[in-house]
Amino acid sequence: MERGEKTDLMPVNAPLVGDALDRLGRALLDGLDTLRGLGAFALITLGVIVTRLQVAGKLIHPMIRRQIHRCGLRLFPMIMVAAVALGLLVIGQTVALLSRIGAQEYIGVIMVTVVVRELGPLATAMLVLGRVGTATVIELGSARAQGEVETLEALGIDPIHFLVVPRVLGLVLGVFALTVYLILGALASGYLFAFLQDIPLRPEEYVQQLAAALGYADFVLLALKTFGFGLVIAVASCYHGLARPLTLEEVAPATIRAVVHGVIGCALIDALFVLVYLLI
Amino acid sequence: MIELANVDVASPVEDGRRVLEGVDWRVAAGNYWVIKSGLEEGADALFLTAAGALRPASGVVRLFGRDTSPFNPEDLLEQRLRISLVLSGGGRLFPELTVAENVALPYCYHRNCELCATGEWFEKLLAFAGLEEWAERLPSELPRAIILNVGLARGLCLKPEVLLLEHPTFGLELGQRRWLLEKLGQLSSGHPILDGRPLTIAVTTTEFQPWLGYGRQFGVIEGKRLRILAGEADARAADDAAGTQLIGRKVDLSER
Repeated sequence: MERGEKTDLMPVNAPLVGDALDRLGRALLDGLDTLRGLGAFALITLGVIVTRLQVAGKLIHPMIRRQIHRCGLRLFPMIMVAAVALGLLVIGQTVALLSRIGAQEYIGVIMVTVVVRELGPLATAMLVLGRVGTATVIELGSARAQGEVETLEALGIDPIHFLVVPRVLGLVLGVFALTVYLILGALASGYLFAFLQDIPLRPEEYVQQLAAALGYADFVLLALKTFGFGLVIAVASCYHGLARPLTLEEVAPATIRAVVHGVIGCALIDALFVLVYLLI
Repeated sequence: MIELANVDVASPVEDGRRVLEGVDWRVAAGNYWVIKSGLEEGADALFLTAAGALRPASGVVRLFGRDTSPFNPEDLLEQRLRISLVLSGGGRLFPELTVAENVALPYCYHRNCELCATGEWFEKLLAFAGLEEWAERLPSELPRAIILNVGLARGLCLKPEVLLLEHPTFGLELGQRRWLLEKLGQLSSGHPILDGRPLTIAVTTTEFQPWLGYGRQFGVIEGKRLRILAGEADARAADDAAGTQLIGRKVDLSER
């Protein structure tokens, strides 16, 4: 009887396991395929930036400036709100604890570690991804769906040069600049919150703590990290909007894919830089 | 000027698919080709291939005597810019650019100038296409009938030697269709806007009838093949056959 029951279950379970493996295998292959596509798209875009940045400069350079304005200056108020919130959050959580054990002199170190190295760049990248990255996918996806890419090719205009390069440069420079402003805003608002809580910390002491905690490597790695975030967001957004022919109905799922891949890419870069910080 | 020898035309949107096979087509200076084709039968891919913007799946494409197969499309830019292609739907304008900017875009890209600094010749071009009063409008603000004018003006802005138009008359009102046919007729016989040089033209259409009396060479895309017709009489017969097939009896298309 026992044996019989086991035999009855086998045909039910075996296909389930097979299906799960099949789905896993397909997901893995799809993931690898997407990774290959993203890598190839990034290399093509970088190649076009290097070889064609001066081509049609009078037409393309104003487009790059417009994208920098769109990805940077227009997001400045939102980034400042996030900076104030981040400063209050970090100081609010840590000051009470540090005061209790008499270790206020570590406020600067904590601000540098948390805001400059980690949360500042990552928060900026996520905000830019949500605000500009999604808009980029929708714009490019709609352009592709409406045949603008074929039109550019018909006019002898390189679609990567015309559509992608300004957006990539705008996003990379925008993420870098906004990260710097977010960090400055968070450090300033952090001190303000500490001041309002009557923490005995003079401004010059706070600045000295920050200066002591910051090294040259922090500036270099911050620049590299933010450029990396900007590049990942730009490539994921442009690739999902442009690389495949879309219908208008496919634009929304492509936007979701771009956000997911952007978040994963930024998380991987962040993990890489955590390792670098631990090694230096 | 353009020669396709035993060309299999690839789909521009679907890797590996061939939309036309065994195409032998030669466009010589002064030709006025009218090619009958359904909307989804590969006319856009044929013209993209003929303009050097799309690699053929197989076969040889020669632009102005130069075999294009060893080159990437960007290496052939000099040849490609002598051919202008206006895709269906009025050339698919860029929605964020004004009419004047849409028209000037290829010129400014290839001649490296700002979109707002295009000069007197562009004003003449806009006037030729009847666009003076629409120049600063966005495409979304244009009446449907004007969109093709913009596409045509943009197609002429680099003073091409060959103009390819994909289904330009599809969905046009009779008056607008007549305007287009007259303009193309003027360009074909030499117009001052192109310094009096006769323009070589090829168009695709869903019916020959409007083009009879204008076109000089005719062809039909059917069953993934391009069939060259002997002349206008064959074109008229092809329209008659299509009408008969559609409604089950012989019709006189010349009544329209």
